[in-house]
Amino acid sequence: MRIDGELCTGCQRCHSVCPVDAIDGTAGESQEINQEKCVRCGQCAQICSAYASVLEHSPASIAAKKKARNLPEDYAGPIFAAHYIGVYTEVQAALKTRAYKMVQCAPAVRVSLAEDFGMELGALTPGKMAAALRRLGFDQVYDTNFGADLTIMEEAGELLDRVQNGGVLPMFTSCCPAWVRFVETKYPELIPHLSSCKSPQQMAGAMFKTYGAKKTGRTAQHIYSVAVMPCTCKEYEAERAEMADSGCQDVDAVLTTTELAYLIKEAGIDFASLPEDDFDRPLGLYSGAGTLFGVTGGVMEAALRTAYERLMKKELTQDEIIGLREGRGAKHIEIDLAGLKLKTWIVAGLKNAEPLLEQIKQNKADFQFMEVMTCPEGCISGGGQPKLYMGTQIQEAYDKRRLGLYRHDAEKSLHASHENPEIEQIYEEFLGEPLGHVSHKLLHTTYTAQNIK
Amino acid sequence: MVFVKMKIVLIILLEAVSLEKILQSFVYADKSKCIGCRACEVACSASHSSKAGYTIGSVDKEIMPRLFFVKKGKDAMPVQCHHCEDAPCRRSCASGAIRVIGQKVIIDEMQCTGCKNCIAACPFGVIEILKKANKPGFAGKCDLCDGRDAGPACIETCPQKALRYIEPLQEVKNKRNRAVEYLLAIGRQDAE
Repeated sequence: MRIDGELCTGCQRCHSVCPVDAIDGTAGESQEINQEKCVRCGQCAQICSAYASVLEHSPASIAAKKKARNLPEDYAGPIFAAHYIGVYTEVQAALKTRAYKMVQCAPAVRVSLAEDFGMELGALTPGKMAAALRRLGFDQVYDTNFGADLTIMEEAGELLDRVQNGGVLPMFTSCCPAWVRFVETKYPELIPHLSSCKSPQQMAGAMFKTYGAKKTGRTAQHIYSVAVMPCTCKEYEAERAEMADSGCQDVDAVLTTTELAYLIKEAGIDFASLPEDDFDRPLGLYSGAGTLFGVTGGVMEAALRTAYERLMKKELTQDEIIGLREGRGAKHIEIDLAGLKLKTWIVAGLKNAEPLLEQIKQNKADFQFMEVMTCPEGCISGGGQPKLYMGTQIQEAYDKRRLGLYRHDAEKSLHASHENPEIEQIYEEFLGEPLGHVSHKLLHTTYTAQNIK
Repeated sequence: MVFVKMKIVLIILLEAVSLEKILQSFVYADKSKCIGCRACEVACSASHSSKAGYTIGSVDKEIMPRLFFVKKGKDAMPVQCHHCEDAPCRRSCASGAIRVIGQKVIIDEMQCTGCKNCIAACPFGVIEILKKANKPGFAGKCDLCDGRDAGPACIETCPQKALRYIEPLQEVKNKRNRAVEYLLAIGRQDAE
């Protein structure tokens, strides 16, 4: 994340949304980001309204700023002081030169991408998204939601294993790379609490270049793998040294939702009139549970579906998890799993996680599982999502995106991750069993304490 | 004599009534509250872009507001049209494009020829030559978001509540009432 000192007015609204107090500066003067502290969540870029004015800056100066941010050459829209440097130009070039390309999109992208084409807030467009990606030249249009289903298989297994065999508890989710970075930098002593599961992006990425490569008769080196994320931190995650279990970097480039919209526009694709395409199989089939990962509480709900249905032999209904979808910030949920009383916390916003982390440090924590997402309402409110023109519509956008994902889940015939037939097939054919040897190598990772000043 | 007095009262009443109708409203910025975020300008631009969707990605032009952020050292605030009673811009307009409609001084953008007399005449510097695809160079300024049900977008958006819609007659009436309430309270305290 960066702040352009020429554009920043020093209003310091970014300070109010930065979850790690990584922004330094005096009011009324330009601000700077402490890169060591920054978890790259991008909330500063979402709130920033200090724009480059044509009344104050020459066209040449504005054009230079756009170029430095890797924006499309013909991008005519506004730019703001707080921003991220994207990979648009790199991916655009690779789409022309690389022979074999695979892509995945995070759940939250399908309820926000259409907004950048002037459609309604929260419009649900998975089919048009898949159609657009195919027209952009991707040979396999796979999906992060498949990776989410796989994550549930591994993570639910890991949780039960920790509970039954005296492992480190409470266990934390590890899907959100900004949260992982936060633990590594600010609470390194709590690293053993993080699930060893990679995020859905990285599980999918590792599968594309191994199982996917085998299925399509390619090698990992031949495949150019792109992820489209609502997140400004996922590029950092993809570049972590551990994320290369296929023999090369598992995910080559990460576009934000907004950058995908630029690519579609640049290619002259009329998004609104696209047909509803399907994702490619096997790595593009997903359950409703997988799509819930895009909202706060979604990983918990998806994990509980699988754990509950495995142990109780019946479907988990909303009545069993009252309150899970309501409220913001931090919420406590308890569920009875065949005699095991599972106590959990669902947290959105790192500031809301800190009191719970302090409890754990003092050995006072009375719960077994905690889901944490850095952004205020989960990935639908991520730093890489379409930015609202009117600040007053931010909450409305979050609400509509969230409802869009819930609707998508309700429409899916596959309710829980373990019901996904491709997941079953992959365990049979390739992975063996959850937490098994191959899974361990491809789908799990390690974390490292990072000392910051 | 009684008739004359009644007539005078009637004239005063009529004047008061007609005065209420003609005093123009404006948006006032409280510089002690403004943090200089420019959200008002962004909202203004959004409110005046007919083709834009809800997101920045759906916008294909630069932000062009009708109120103007000015920074002086560490201080900052927006300036905008005061909708002057005897508006110099209206008097200077060569094409008769500036009129008082309701409680607003409004520029008819289609009628405007872009002569820029109004820019010279405006004492606040809050008129800017804007461009649209079908209209190169017309005078644009705050129209108090004419036609927008929720009122001016800048006021709605300001995170510091530094902007206020001022209806001059109501403003003074409220202030006078508050002053009297205050004085009466002091009087009561003194009596006790």
